[in-house]
Order: sequence, then C-alpha cells, then structure tokens
Amino acid sequence: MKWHLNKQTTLLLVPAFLFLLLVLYSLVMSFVESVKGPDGWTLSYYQSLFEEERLYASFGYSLWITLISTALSIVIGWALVRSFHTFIENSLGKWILWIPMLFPHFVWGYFVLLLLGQSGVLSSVLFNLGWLESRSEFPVLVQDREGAGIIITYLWKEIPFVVLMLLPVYTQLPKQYGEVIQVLGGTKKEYFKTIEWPWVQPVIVEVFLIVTAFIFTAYEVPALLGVQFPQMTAVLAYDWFYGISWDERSFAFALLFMISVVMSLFALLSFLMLNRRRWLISKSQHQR
Amino acid sequence: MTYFSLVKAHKEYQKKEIFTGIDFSLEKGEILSLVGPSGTGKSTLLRCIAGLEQFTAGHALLEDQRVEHLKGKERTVGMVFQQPLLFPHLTILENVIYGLKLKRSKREAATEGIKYIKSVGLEDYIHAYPHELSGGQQQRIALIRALVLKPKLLLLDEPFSSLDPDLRRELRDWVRMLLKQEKMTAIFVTHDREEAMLLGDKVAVLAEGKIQQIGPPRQVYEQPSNELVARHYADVIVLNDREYAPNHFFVWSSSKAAFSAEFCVLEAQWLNQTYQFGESYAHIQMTGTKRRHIIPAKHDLSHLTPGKTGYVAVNRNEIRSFDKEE
Amino acid sequence: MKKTIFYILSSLLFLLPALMLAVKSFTPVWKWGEPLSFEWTLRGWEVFLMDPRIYEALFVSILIALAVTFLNLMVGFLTGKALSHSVFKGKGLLETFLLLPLFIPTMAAALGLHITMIRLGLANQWLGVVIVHLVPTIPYTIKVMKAGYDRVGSGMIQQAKVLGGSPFHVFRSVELPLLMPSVRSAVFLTVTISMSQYVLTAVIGGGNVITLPIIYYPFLQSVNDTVMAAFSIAFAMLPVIAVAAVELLSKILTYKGTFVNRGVT
Repeated sequence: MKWHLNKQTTLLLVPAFLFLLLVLYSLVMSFVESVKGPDGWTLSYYQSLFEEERLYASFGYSLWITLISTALSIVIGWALVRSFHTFIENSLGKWILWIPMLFPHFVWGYFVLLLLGQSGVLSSVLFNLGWLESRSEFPVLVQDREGAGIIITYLWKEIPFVVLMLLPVYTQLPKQYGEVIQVLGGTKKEYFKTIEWPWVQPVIVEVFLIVTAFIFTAYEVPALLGVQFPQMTAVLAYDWFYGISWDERSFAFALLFMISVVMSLFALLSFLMLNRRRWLISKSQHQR
Repeated sequence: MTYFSLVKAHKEYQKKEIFTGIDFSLEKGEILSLVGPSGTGKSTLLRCIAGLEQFTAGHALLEDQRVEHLKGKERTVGMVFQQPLLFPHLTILENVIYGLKLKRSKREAATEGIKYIKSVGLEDYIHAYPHELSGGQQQRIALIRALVLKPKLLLLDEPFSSLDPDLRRELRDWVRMLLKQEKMTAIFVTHDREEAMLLGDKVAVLAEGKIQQIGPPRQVYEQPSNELVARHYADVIVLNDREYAPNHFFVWSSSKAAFSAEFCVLEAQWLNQTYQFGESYAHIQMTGTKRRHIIPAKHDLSHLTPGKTGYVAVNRNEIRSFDKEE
Repeated sequence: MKKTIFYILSSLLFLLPALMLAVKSFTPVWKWGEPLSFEWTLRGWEVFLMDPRIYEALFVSILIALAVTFLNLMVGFLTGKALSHSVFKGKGLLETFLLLPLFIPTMAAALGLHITMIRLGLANQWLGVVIVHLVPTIPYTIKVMKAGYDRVGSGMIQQAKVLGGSPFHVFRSVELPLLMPSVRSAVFLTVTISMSQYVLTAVIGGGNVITLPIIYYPFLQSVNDTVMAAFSIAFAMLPVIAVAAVELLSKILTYKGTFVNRGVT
C-alpha cells in the first residue's frame, strides 16, 4: 500500500485542488471585504452588524423555516424510503420521484404560487364550487409572515431529494446481518440499532447538512414567496450588497462569511465524528 | 432418549419441492454431519430448523418442544453461517457478547465473553475490530458468539467454506474439540466428505430431496445403501443399480485378455497417475458411465497416454449388493 | 397494496404538478373566480418561442450549462478515479473537504469572487458565470463519479491496461461505457443545478449575461399563467435534452469492439 501521494494520483487531483482553491479564495475575499473599511482594516462592521435588528429577525425567521423544512423533509422522506424502498429501485416509481428534481426551485415556487396563492387555482376552484365567498377567505399560504409558502415549496422539492439520497443505502443494507441478529436472539429493534441506523446515519447527517445549508442561504424561493420583513438571510444579504451605503455592503460580506464559517465547521465536525464508523463499516465482509 | 428430532420435514419453494419426508433424531451431545451435493437443500433445511425460513409441513422437536418458532430470548437454536458475518463496527468483545447482552447485564456478559475469547486464544484481540483478524480467527469468533449463548442445538452451515484449505484443516479439528468440550448437540452441513467424517458422530447423506442414508461415518462409507450414497460418500464403483465394488479391489490393464473369468471387466480410459501416502493411484474414466474414479495402481504406468482405452476389473467375490431392505 | 399507495401518493404529489403545468401551458389564462378553461391554445408557447430574447437566453443558458458540464465531468472523472482507486494519507479528509462547498452559501462564493472577476474582466461575461456555477455543482459530480469508480472497481481497468491499451483507448473502451450510469446522473444534476441559478448569474453576470432564469425570474408574479407555464416546462425539458445529448455523444465516443469494426472476417 502506498501511503503518500504518488505522481499519478497527484496529477489526477490537480483539478480538485484548483477547485478547492477557488472556493477558499472566494471565502477569503469575502472576509477581506468584510473587514476593509475606508480607513484600513477594521472589525467594526461585525460589531455594528450585531446591533442590527434586521439581522436577528432574519436569523430567527431563517432558522425557523430551515429547521422545520429540513426536519420534515428528512422525516417524511425517510419514512417513504423505509416503507417503499423494496420496489422503488428499478421501477417507474423512481422516475416519478425524479420529476420535481427536474424543475428549478423557483419554478416550483411559481407552481406553489399558482396553485396555493390567494388568487391561485385552488382558491378559484373552491370559489366556483361555492365553498368560498371571496378570495380573502382562502388562507394566506403564500407570501405570508410565517413562511408557509416557502416551507411548502422546500418540502415538495426536498422530500424526493431525501428519498433519492437514501434509496441506495437501503438497497445495499446488508440483510444477512438481520439473520445473524435473529439467531443470536435479537429482534427488529436490535436490527435497527445494530445495522440499519449505523448504515443510514451518515447519509442522514449528510443530507441534513446539505438541505439545512441550502435552505438557510438560498435566495430564489424566499425572494419570491417571502415578505418584506423579516427576510431570510440570503435576501437580506442581497439587499445589503446592492444597498446604498458602504456599511451595508460590508454587512453582506460579514453575514455570509460568518454563516460560511459556522456551517463548514459544523459540517467538518460532523463528518470527522462519523468518518471512523464509516470506515469500519466499509470493511464489512458480507456478500453484496 | 431422543433429544432432537425432525418429523416429516417438507419444504417447497415456488411450488418446487426442495426436500420431503426428512426424519431423523439426535441424542444429546451428538454431532450430525449432513453431506450431499450442492444445491440439494442442506442449507435450506438448516435455515428452517433455525426459524429463518418456514417448513411447508412437518416440524422440529427439541426436548419435546417445537423450536423453529421460538423468537428472541426464547431461542434455543444457535447458528453459524458460511461467512463469519461479524459486525464490522463492533469490537470483538462486543460481537461475542451481542446475544448475551440481550439477556443478562453487560458486566456479566463481558466476563463470560472474555472467558470464551481467552479459551480460543484470541485474548489479544478483545478490543480489536473484526477487520484486524484473519478469516480463520473471524470464524472462531463467530463460533463462540453462538456458543456463548449455550444453545441447546447448534447449526453450522459450511462454516469453513470461505477459508483456504490449510486453515480449514486446522479449524475443523479445533471445532470438534470445542463442541465436544461444550457437550454441544450440533448439525454440521458440508459438501466435503472428509470434513463430514471428521466432525460427525453420525453422517446423513442428503440427495434429491431425501435423506438417503444415516449412520456412523464408517458404516455409511463401507455399506452405502444406494447409488446416490455410493456416488457422494463412498469410494466404490457402481456396476448397476443393484451392485457395486470398492475401488481398492479394482485392477487396471491395457488388454482384456489379462483377466480370467473370475473377474468382472469394464472398459475405461486412462487419465493419469498420482501418489499419496506411499501408494500409487490410477485416475480413470469409465467408458460406460463417464464417471471418474481412482483405483490402486501397483506399477509405474506413466508411459500411458491420457485418453488411452483399457480395462478395469474386479474379482466377482468382491462385488456387493446395495442394502435393498431400506 | 403498499405499491398502490406509493403510486397514488407519488403520482398525486409529483406527477400531477408537472402535468398541471404542461396542461396549463396549452390553455388560456385562468382568471380568478371564472371556471377553469381547457380550450386548446398555443398562445403560451408562441409568446415563449417568438421572443428573440428567449432565443438568445436559451443559447447562453445552454452554452453555460455545456461548459459547466464539461468542466464538471473532467474534474469528476479524474478526482473520482483518484479517490476511488488510490490509497493515500488524508484521503478521507480530502473527500470531506471536497463536499464542504455544499455547506457554504453559494452567495458567499459569488460575492467573494465578484471583485476579482471585475479585475480579471470576467464579470458580466458568460465565462465568469460558468466559473461560479462550478461551486454548487462540482461536489455532487465528484461524489457521483467516485461512487461510479467504486462500483466498477479497478480490476477491469487494469486488465485493459495489461492488454496493452493506451490510456485514452482504455478510457474510451472500458471506463466510459462502464461509468455511463454515473455520467448520466452527473450531467443531469449539473444541468439542473446550473439552470436553477438566478442569484449567482445575476451577481456575476451583472445583467449582461442573460440566461433563462434571468428572464423568467422577474416575471414570476406575472398574471399570464399560460406563458409562465410554457416557460416552466421548458426548464424541465433542458436537463432531459442534455442527458439525451450526452447519450448520443457517448455512443460516438465509445470504442466499439465488434469484429465488424475491426475488419476481421
């Protein structure tokens, strides 16, 4: 076994390193922009950023939408995979799940607006059926203060994503261990604890991190289906970036840089914690 | 007194019969080797007894109790698989006490587990992970993972088949010793005749969905009850559906004239010659049945070309009949 | 039973919306309170296809998606192979690092690169947009390609090398055909993600690089649901077309080892 990078492998990895460099560079530049004042380097933008009421409102609002959307997507997606995985793979069903993946998030947001808006198709149909007197009787599901429209859009888009990410894990679960556990006197509970969860957990954590990071910082859907106040982080950052004052521009950089650092540390820690078990599991000698 | 018995065990899979009318019984502490060609449902039979699959009809009795439906902590039947199947993310100790921990406190289980690991000489690996062990060591751990639960019946499904030949030989003596030491009642499935003889107090030949013969290894070897047993377990040349003669009474000759009327002569092709335990053997292929056999060859016959037609013959006094009473 | 439930549920939730958008693109504008009209009309598609800006946007979008896909596959093939078939210290860590861009806000990358892009003259250029689209796509491609190489294993590739194939020949005759499922997934993901970028394109393209999302996005509040539906369907068709194109390309590129091709009689 070769423990050090040989020439050929290094060559293969050059583009990957260039890519990492690009991302790292962009983060460094964000940081530089966030500490560059008119009179040299300063951390004062971070200080005044934390005095901004808009920031706290945005964090609370974003966190609420992100956590509820992510948690529900994972719970529902996982439940779907657990009950249906035996026949989703290699069937028409898998293609149906790919359909929402075809549409960009903002297109799906438009669809939610079209369907569930106060002047949307559903409200119109209900009115025609005589179930509604006027469109104001239809609940405000889109462009509402609680972000219901945003959450609905994300759920609709992320559940299939969760299913498609978890599907390969479930089709590759080492079922032989189920028999081992059975003859050792274990039940389904032990199978879940010993096999299913250790195999699935790394993917669940990964999906959780991807979806959380995406929803927390995506611009398109909340800009379309959100309200003026509070705003989700990306919308706020965008507003600040194109704002009038230099301060606001620096706020945008500071905000995004902070989120980047927190999220990557969070992700890095989670992966490092899971890597050892992942490695052990990859040594499994069951027949595939 | 009968300790374990199978009663009219029958299994169909997708309307195809796997085995039928399987009856046999075991005394406490007895080891049965189940041999037979691959694909005859030996493993399926074991899996049914273990409750991993269901008998279509019939049942298994252990101390007059039905066993195959017992679940969880009630189980009295243990099983070892072809592969060790140790949990890759648990240490050796955690693997060994996996079942015990479900019944007893963790501390008790650990004490018992360590005792067993020491008894098989793997105490250096108590906190290691399975991938750090060799295949043979892993299979030893798999065996004590089953034994530590003190099952009333232990099923072994070709536990050495994933190991290389040297390791197999070493491990099977060790397994027999361990099973005897634990006074374990066991059923051991293999397709290897030698392994069956080495491990079993009794041997059962399973072929074409039925137990063809059951008895002490030597008896089955010397008196096969029919052609199937003869072919899979004994060293005999089957002459017709009633008669056979042991290989070691046969003689090779290139010409038919060499044999007197006392001999039964069959045409055969010369294949090769090998040497074992100081003796020399001829490998031949019968022209009639196309089956390959090994018979003694006193002289050096290496000048013969493979494929050359010749004759094998046996004195008519040595011809025996299959026991037709069965 | 379970199967039926699954098909009803998934059709209702995922197939129906797509069908509804498709139907909507061929029916007149639905005004609130009036019964839904299902009269057949091509107006939506006419408006969509007659607009010269759309053609330009389509061209630019496809150009960008193509370039992004090409770069993704290049990085994906090389990195996937290295991560799957070689052993070196820190491989696990490198793999983790290559996933990290998925966990940082893409806007941070876009805004961070903005000034540099201006300096390099890449801002307001399609090439600049291509570079920034790499950030949310490459981690997925590497993941998919690595899984592909894991599945294929190194034995087959080594066998081809032992038989005396040049690296390019081995790639065409063994790696590419065996990795096609992964390539398909990677292309599909890359094109879909690239087509989904509004804010990255807006920031780096600065209103100069007009892609489909740049035109579509401001009109999302529009009342003409027929045109918007046609537009929406167009978005979904592009990844499908891309995968079909890749399929065709791979057929041409793949070395076919039949006797006829080798001229052996």
